[in-house]
Amino acid sequence: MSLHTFSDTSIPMTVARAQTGEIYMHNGNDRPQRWDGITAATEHSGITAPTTEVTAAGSGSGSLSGSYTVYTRFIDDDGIPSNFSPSGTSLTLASDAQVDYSSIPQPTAGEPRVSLANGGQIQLWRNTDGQEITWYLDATVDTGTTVATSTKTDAQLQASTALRFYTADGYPNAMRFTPPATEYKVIVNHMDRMWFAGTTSTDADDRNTIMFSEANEPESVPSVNSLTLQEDGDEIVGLMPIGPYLYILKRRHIYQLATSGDPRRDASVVLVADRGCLNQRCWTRVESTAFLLDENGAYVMKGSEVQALDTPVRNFVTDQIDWDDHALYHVAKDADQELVQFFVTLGSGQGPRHALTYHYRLNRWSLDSFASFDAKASGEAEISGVMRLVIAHNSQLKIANDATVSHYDSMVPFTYKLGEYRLLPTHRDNVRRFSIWFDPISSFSIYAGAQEDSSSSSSSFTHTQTIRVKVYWNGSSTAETPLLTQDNEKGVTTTAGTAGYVVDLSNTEGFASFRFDGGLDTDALNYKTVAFELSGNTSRPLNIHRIEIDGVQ
Amino acid sequence: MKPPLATVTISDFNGLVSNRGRFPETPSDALTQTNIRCLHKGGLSARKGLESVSFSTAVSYTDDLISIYFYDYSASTQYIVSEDANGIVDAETLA
Repeated sequence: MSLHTFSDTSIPMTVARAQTGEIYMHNGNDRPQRWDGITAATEHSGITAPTTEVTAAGSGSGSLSGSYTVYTRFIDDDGIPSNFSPSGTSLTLASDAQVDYSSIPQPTAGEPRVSLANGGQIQLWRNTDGQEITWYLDATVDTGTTVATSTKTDAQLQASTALRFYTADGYPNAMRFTPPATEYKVIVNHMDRMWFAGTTSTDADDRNTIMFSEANEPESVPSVNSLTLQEDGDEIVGLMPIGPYLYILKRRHIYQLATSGDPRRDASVVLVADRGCLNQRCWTRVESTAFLLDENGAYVMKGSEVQALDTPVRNFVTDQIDWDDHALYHVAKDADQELVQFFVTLGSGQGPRHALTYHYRLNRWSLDSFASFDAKASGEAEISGVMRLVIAHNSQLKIANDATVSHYDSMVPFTYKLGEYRLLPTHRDNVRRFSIWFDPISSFSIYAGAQEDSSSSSSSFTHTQTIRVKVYWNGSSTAETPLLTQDNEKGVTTTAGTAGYVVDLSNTEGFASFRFDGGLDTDALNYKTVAFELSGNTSRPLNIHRIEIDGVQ
Repeated sequence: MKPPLATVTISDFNGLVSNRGRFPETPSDALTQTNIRCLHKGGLSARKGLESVSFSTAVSYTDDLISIYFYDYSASTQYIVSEDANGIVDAETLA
């Protein structure tokens, strides 16, 4: 169901859900949208107030006397109002019988939420003689109606719905219904309020400002509901609510905001980290720990404690990630596999096609590669009772294959290369052997050309799962090429002239080994180091349990 | 057969440790580890392939998806996505 079309598509929208269930969407350029989860389209978040004033005059002969000010406001079919009209209409009554209202301001076509078709109404509010603290609902008309009358005396007004113009402590009340500003691209829900940040304005004064809604009124954001952080040469790019705190994310700093309920009165903001965040999508949370990505790499934050995470893979951070193209980078949690994934671009000129992947229980890194797919967004969803990571792969939503279902048409290429080991001196007792233990995989049928980044043909063939083990001597980038085509009867074959020893994973023993001692190679005496690279393509759960390399240290 | 003079055993796979150059700090450091993960101590597992999510109704998009937001509604999981070039915001239900 297509809900809306944003005119600006350069910035991913952020979405937050209010306690009442409404969903709010911001992108920093188009007017924010709200959706009730049911209807066929979104509508504007917040209602723009009347810009003109009603005409009011007394008529007839009666008991109405006094000086008044009349305001109008729009209200939608959910009872959500706009602000009062800007200045109000002065009205003096002298023994009049009624008040005649005319030229009642009407919503523009750009405010369909309060159109007649959508059940919109217009309210007229009048104070009582001699006071300008409280206004009372004098009359309500349907949108489209431009005239109305009222015969209410002050006593009758006071029995009507009342609304203070300001709260008792001086904050806007009748004028608190200002719609959320368009310029903020980030929205989060925290402590019964919506919070807004990440301005797209070019005004330097705005980049340190966040705004917040009234409590339980996500569309009421008066200008006084703002906080401006100190100028530190940085800009706010995101908000991260964790527990009682709202963390304000800048590119290179993080501030912690605490409030006990009314941020205008009691908000405290302290700098907690000299690390930051690339954008609103570059953080995720595992239990009480936040995982973030900033321009210095990946790190974790717990409370105000910050710890670098990416030391083992610093070369990716410093040499390979394209930091000029981070608008679409994102960080996601895969709770099912206990992973946090940092989706980035290696190289340039493309979307995120790789994910630095961190196992947060084992503290292990790996790299995921999605070939020619751009993974520009991710999210977590409950699928079949399990929280699963969903990745946007170009124009499709995808999840990892569940081994219990028959989706075996996507072959994943993998590579695993160990470092160099020092060879022991050549000796007749010093056998050089590579051994590997694995879960056997029976041969299976697969579609020809099946890769997860390309369409497969409809014809299938029987595939025997293998791992190719390449041997590299003395730091060479060129793998050894076996001289013979042979089967060593220990689950390994070679092809003359083709690099690598091919391990057959259909071997039910779950074990294979081969000698690499260069017994046929006259240069063996000159070998000092050796490295091994395992690679293959698989669409089956492929598990390696142990590798042993004899004759090295 | 006599035992080898020395053996390197890799059973506690240490994950990708690419910052040290050619020589690992521990024997089980990997210089390259792409699409294969350490999902439990003592094992390597190839990354699972990806399959398309199933929807309650047929859905297809023409442009790259750049935003996803999931939420629970009426005992089902719904999602909202926005497309890149055409800016369309769409809401659907997972099967």
